[in-house]
Amino acid sequence: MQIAFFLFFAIAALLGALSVILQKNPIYSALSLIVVIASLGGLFLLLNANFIAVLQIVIYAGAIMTLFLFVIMMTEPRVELRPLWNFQSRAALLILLLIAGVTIWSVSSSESQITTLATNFNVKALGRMLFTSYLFPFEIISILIISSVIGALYIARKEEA
Amino acid sequence: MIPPAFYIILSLALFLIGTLGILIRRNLLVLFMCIELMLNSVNLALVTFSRVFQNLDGQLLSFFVIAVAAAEATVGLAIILLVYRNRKVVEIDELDSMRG
Repeated sequence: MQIAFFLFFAIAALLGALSVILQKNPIYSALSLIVVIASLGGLFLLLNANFIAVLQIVIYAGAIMTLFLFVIMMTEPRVELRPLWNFQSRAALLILLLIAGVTIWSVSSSESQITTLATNFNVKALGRMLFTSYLFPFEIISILIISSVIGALYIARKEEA
Repeated sequence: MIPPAFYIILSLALFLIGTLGILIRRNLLVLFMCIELMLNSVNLALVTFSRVFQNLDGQLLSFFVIAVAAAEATVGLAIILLVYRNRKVVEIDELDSMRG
């Protein structure tokens, strides 16, 4: 059962990711990215990371992708003129396949295994860690988000005449 | 039980697809989406290792990655909007005014 879910989400994520980089229209790329994000949320659930799965759906698929779609619609994208499959992209693909080969070789030679689940592996423990040992980074993140909102408002403001 | 190597290889594949997208696409918005794809693949690796080592630090790190990605998307999209407003183009081939 778990294997079936894993295969479903993994194949959906891979096809979605390929669709993100191969679609000519950026709107379709954004919608494919939502598929990738949703299937990664499913994989997080399989890994018992409930909190991260919820964040993935709510923040990524809900907030960030809405922002993307708004900006795409405001910039009137056009179809790319240059062909994708030229010498440069072939060289890039070759190098990346090389990196993939080396990494898969090193991963498959390791022997780690997912063991049985610890009992405190839940949202409660996550929240307790977030507000004790990770309190300082948490507050820094809030400052970062406030400053990014102010920065975005400042950058995108109307020029006064 | 699914071996963690499967998750890591999936994460690697998503990361490389994102890198390939950045290398071959020419639309600023699609490049930005590829960056989001790469951040997501790293999150998958972090959560997998968090599960393997029975340690919640990885999940917390991916929480911070999601928060930083949200901040980055806000500022980045505002910059792209500004570029479009000034130059009426979001293709990086045509944004070559800094070329010597």
